[in-house]
Amino acid sequence: MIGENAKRIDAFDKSQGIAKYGGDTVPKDTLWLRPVLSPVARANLLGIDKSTALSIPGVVGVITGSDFPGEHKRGAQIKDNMILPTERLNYKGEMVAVVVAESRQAAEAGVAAVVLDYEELPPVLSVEEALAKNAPRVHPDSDNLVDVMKLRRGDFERAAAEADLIVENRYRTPRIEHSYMEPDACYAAMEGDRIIVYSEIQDTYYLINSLSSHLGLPQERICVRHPNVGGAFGGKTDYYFEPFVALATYLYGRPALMRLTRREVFLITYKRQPADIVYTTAVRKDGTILGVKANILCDNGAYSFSAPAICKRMVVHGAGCYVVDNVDIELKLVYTNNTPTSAMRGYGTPQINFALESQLDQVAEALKIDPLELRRKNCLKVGSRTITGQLLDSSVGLSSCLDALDEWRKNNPLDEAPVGYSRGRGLACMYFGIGKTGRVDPATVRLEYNNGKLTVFSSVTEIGQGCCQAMLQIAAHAMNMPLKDITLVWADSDTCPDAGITSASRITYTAGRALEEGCQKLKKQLSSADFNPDRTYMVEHTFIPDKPPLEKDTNYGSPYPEYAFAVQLADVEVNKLTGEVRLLRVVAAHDVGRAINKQMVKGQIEGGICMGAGYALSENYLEARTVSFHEYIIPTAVDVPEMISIIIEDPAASGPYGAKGVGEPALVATASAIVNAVNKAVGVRLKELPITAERVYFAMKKAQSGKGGE
Amino acid sequence: MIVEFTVNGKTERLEVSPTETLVHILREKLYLTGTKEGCGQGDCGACSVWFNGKIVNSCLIWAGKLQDANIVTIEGLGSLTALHPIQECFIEAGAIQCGYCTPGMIMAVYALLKENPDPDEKEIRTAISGNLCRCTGYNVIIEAVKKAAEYFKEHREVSL
Repeated sequence: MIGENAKRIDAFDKSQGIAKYGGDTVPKDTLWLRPVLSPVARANLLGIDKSTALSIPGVVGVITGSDFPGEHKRGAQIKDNMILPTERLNYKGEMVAVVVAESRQAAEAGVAAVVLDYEELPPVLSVEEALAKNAPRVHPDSDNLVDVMKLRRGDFERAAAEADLIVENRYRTPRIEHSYMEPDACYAAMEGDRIIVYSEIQDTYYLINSLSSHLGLPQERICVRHPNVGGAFGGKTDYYFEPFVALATYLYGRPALMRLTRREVFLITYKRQPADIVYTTAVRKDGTILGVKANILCDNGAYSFSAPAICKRMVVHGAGCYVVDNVDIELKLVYTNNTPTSAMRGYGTPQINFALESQLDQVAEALKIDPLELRRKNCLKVGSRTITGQLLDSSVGLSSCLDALDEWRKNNPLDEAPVGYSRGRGLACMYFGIGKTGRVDPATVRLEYNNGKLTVFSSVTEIGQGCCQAMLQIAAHAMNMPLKDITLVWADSDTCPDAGITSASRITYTAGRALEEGCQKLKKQLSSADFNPDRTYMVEHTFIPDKPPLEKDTNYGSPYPEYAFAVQLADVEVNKLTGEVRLLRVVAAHDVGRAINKQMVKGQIEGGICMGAGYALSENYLEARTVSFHEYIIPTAVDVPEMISIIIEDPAASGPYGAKGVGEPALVATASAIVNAVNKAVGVRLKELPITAERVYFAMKKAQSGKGGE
Repeated sequence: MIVEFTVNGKTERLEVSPTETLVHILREKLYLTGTKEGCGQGDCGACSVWFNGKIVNSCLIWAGKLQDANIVTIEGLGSLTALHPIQECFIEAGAIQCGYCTPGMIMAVYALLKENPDPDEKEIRTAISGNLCRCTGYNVIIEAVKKAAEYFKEHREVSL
C-alpha cells in the first residue's frame, strides 16, 4: 500500500460537485454576515454608528468588538490584535464591524450604511519609515520592532578576512497572497445549547480554545467540524471570521454564514512577509563556504499572527543546506500599517532561499566552478551539523538529489534558442525542517476496530494536499487490511483527538507516525490469545517528535526531528527585446523520505513548482491595489512549464514508513532556480522578485549601457 | 421578474431580480452548489457552466439573460452511481486536490471536447486557461483531458 497510487478517497465527490465546502450550506433561515472594512491605513477610531444600518429592512444586527463577552485580544504568539478594533485602525481593509442580516443583499446594504467616525493619521507604510527616528508607533504601547532574532556561530569577521572572495548583495521579495481558489467561508449552527462551527481552519483545537475564550463559553459548548477546504497553503492556520459567525449564531439562535468576496480575501487576509535581505558570502577559491552574514528586515504588517515563528524559521534556515561554520544572521521583524503577514507555504524559507541561492551562483561564476559542483562541495551530508549545531545522523538525501539532477542534465542538454531569444539553465537547493521549530507538537490518533473494520479518528485537516488518503494508506499498510475496510474521521472535534496544526509539512509525518505506532499496538491486542471477534478494540496513541526548544538567545539546538531536501533545475527562455521570461521546464529532485502515494507526492511537487513560478515571475501584492486576479497574476495552464519530478527516498528514521513532509519543500527552491537560469540566459542578475518583463528589460538595458548588473 | 430556463434537462421557473447573477441563482435558489464562486468577476472560472452551447463564467451572466436558456452544470454530468468519463479521467490522473476548481474545470473540458474531440496540447491549455487552479500546477489536468479525449475516440458510442 505504501507508495501506491490509490485513488483519493475524496476525489469522487469533488469531481461530481457534491463535496460540500464552507459556503455551500445555506438553510432557509440562515443569517448572512458581511464585513465593514477600514477605508484607511491608520486612524483613531472614534465611533461606529450602526443606527442607519439597523433601520434597513432585513438587517438583524451589527457586531462590533465590544460585543464579545470574553477576551477581546487575539494573536497566536503576541496578543497585539483585537477581535475587532475598538480604538485604532491599523491597515486598509482591516475588518471593523460585521453586519448580520436575513439575506446577502440586506447584509450588503447594511455594510454600506455603517458609518465609521475616525481621525485619520499618517500611516507607516515601509520598514524604513517604521524604523526611522521619531517614527509614529503602529501600536502605542510598543515600539515598531516586533522582534530581533540572531544566530551567530564561529567568527564571521575572521572568515571574511581569510576569504578569497566575498560576494555581497541586497535582495527583496514581495508580499504574496495565498490565492486559494475558495474565498474564506465559515458556517455555524446551534445544536441544543452547543455551537457547531463549520470552519476551514488548519488547526481545530486552537480554534476551539480561541472561540471559547472570545465567547466566554466553556470548550464543551463548542464543536468544530470541517467542510471540504478549497485550498489553504498556510492561509487558514489562523482564524478571522469564526468568532463572528459563532457569536451571531449564539446571539440569534439561527444558522449563520460568512463568505468573503475575492476582493475581501485580498484586502483582509494575511500574506507571506516581504523580506529585505543584505547577504554576504565568504568563500575560499576552491569554493568552500567559509562564512555567511545576513541582515534581514521583515515587514510584519499591522498584526503579528505567526510572523515571529516564521522569522525564526527563516533565521534557522539562513545559511541554506550547506556546512557553514561561521555565521552571523540577524533579523528584525517590524510593525507597519500594511496587511498583516503570517504563514504561507515555505514559512519564511522561500525569501532567504532566494537570497542565498542567488549568492551561490554568483560565487560559482566568479570562481568559474559549475553551480552544481559548488553546491555538492558544500552540501549537508550524514554526519554534518546545521548552523544551529544539530547533528544530522540519517536521511540526508541532498547528495542523491544532486546526483539525480546531474545525470538528468547530462542526458538532456539545453536546446539552442530561436532567433531573438536566449536560453539558460539554473538550479537551486533547499532544505526544510519538518514540524514546528523547536516546539512540542504532538499528534494523537484513536483507532476503533470491530469485526474486520477499522475507524481512525484524528483532527488532521484535509486542505487538498491529500493527508486523509495518506493516513488511510498508512493504516491499510500497518494493519494489512484493504482500504475499503478503513474509515478516517477527521472533520469533527467531538470524536477526533488533537492531531495538532496541519502546517509546517508535519501532518503526514506526525499524525502518520502516531497512526503507524497506534496500529502496531492494536495489532498486538488483535493477536492476543483472548481475542474476541465480537468485541470493539480501541487504541489511543500520541506521537511526540523529539525536538527540544532552541536555546533562547543563541538559537542553538536541534529544532526539527527530520529535514526534507530538494534540488530544482529550471530551463528558461528570455525574449531579448522585451525581457519576457518563459519557463520551459523545471526538473525537481526531492528527498521525501518515503512516498506514501507517489501520485500525490508528484501532485505536491508540481503544485509547488507552479506556485514558485508565480513567486518568481508575476506575483506581487500591492497594498489595497492588487485586489483581484486580473491585477494579482497567478500562473494559468498556458504559463506552466514542463515538470519532471524525481522522487528520492532516503527514509526518515522517525517518520511513518520513513516519510517526511513535501508540501512546503515543493516550492522553496523554484524561484531561486528560475532567477539563476535567467542570469545564465541573458547575463543580468535580478535581485528583486518578481522578475517581471519590465525588470528584466531594464536590467538588460542597463547592462548594455555598460553599467553592469542591476 | 420571472424567467423560465432549463438546467440539466429540467425546466425551472423562477422569480429573480434582474441584477442577480446565474452563479447565485444556481447556488442559492436551485441549491446546485457544485458550481463554485471563486472571484465573482470572471477571472477564475470556478463557476464555469455550459450555457446555450458555450462555456461561460456564470458570475457574469445576469438573470435577464436566462429566459429560454439551456444550461448544464457539473450536476448534469454523470450520475451518483456512474461518473462521467471526464470525471473518471480527472480522478485517474490525480488532477483533483482541493477540488474547488474541479467542477468549473471539468465543465470547460466538457465544452472543449464537445467542440473539438481531438484537441492538441496547446488547444487544451488554451481551453482551460480561463480556469485557475492553485493546487496541481495544471499538467496533471492536461493529462486527464488527453485521457478523456482518447476515451471518447475509442468509445464513439458514448456521447458527451
